[in-house]
Amino acid sequence: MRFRAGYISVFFAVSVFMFSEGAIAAPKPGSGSVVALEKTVDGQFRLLRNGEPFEVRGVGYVIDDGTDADALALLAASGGNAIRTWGIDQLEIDADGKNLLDLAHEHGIAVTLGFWVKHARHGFDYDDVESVNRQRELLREAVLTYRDHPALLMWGLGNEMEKDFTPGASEETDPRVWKELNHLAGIINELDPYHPVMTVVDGTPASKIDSIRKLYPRLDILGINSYAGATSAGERALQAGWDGPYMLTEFGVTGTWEVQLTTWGAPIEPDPSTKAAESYTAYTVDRNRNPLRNLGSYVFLWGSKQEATFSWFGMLLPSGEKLARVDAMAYAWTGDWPTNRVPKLESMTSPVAFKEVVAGTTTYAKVDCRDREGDTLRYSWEVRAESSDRRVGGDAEAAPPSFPDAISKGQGTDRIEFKVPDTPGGYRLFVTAYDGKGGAAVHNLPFYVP
Amino acid sequence: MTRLLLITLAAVSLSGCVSATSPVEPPALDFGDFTSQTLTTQAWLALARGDYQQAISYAEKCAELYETEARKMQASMSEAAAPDKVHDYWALNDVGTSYFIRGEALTKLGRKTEAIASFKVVRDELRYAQAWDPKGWFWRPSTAAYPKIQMLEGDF
Repeated sequence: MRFRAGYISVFFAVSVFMFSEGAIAAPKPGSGSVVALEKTVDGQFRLLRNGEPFEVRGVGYVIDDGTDADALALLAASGGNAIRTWGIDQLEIDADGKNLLDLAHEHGIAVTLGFWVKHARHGFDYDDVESVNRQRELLREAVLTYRDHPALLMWGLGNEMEKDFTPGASEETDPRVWKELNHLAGIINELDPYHPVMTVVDGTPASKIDSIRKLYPRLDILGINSYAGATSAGERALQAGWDGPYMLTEFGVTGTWEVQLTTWGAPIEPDPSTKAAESYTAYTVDRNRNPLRNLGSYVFLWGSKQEATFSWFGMLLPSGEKLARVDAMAYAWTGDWPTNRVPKLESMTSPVAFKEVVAGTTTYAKVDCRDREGDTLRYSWEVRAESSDRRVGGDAEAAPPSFPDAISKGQGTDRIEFKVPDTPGGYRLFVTAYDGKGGAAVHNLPFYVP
Repeated sequence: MTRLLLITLAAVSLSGCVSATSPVEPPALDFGDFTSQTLTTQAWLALARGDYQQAISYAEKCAELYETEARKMQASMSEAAAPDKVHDYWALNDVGTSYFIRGEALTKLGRKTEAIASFKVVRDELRYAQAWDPKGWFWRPSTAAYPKIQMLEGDF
């Protein structure tokens, strides 16, 4: 699965051979897509899908509640053209009675099909031959099952599997990870020479890039996850010695581990407009700074996910409404703002914000929110405990408990009275403003009961 | 990214019980030993406690004293310094960070045009400045300036 140097003018004549390795009897493409990397003589790259240049305007995708059709329609309407998944299990969830790949294809959305390469930090043992072989066999089955689907864009082989999140851990990576990835990529190359292989890493220090280049030569596209530093993530990878194409595979907001903390250690969530500006900026700056090395990107995250809060990374509410980052990415992708924007949250205030406050105190909060189209806004307020199930590396977290009885007056309006919980601990007051037309704004203020 | 160095400084503004606040005299400007490190630290502290005019004053003093040297350092570079060389570019790092702090303070004061200009100095002219995050890594104020400018210029 190595790309070969070629010229744009002769690409179409050679495209179907670009991923062949000669010695392997590659299957002919059936009804599926043919995706190739084109490398020009000056070391630049383009992705070609069925012979046409394809710049990935993608999202990480986690919808798993049967609302895929709506979510994919919104993505397509916003100018997105691709999704990225993390594991094969995401494809096995029926949505609206259809497979995710079929639904994506119906909406003109291409799919980077993620295969979850197991992590040593989760207990995977590279010396356990049985486990290694089982993973190889799972990949083989997945490739045979999905290689001919027309929505398939490329294989996403692993996500941050090299990372040791232990504080102070060395940047040096286990060479067995890269060797095994190279073996797994060989399986894909053998069974499906018509789709590139991308592997996603966390950070690109020179030592990691050096290991990848030496031990993982079958890698076609480097995927980079980067949050606060996303605008310069590609630049850093190239400076570190990466000489191939890359994509930003997770980006969009400053991470929970990168922001200011309250005195009790709670990360302070950026407001919706700040997050929208961050997403827009990361996408446009990285794309414009490294043309023809950056093949596109996948903003994190189309759907919702509990990670410190339920609203930090998700671009949609659990109930499906779009948030400000959707509009920002539509603007980035198409150059135009959507016809109906989400509400703009100007400020959210409360006397208890960022403070320690006496248990049982009755206090108030208000939000200043406006709708650009004049839609009538409805507000929903909620007190939740601070998350006590914080993880690293995006591992699943349990949602903290909610205290619906805390709101004593004004629920549904832009100003409430609420009672501070009696139990000591960290809390957040959330407000969500709905425009009634599929858009919303959500924000929160932390406080602490000593 | 924009909030990275504020983490340890935030305690100044975020501590205290609601019912236990009391008026505090604003501290006078203290340029200490006038080193770029001292001035930048004072600017961060002033920003964190909400003394935006003081933050601007400390940041501007840092630029006044060290910007010439900072620009020489920037002109000598073709890429950001490797982690083991970052401190060799002390003036660039501190002046770039000071312009970033100044932009933050001006934003808080509603002086939008000046804030944009300050962030653009970092983004376009002091691009390789780096600052240390207490959690264990360097970050680039120029990178952090991008979304700040977008926020001030765009309709997000």
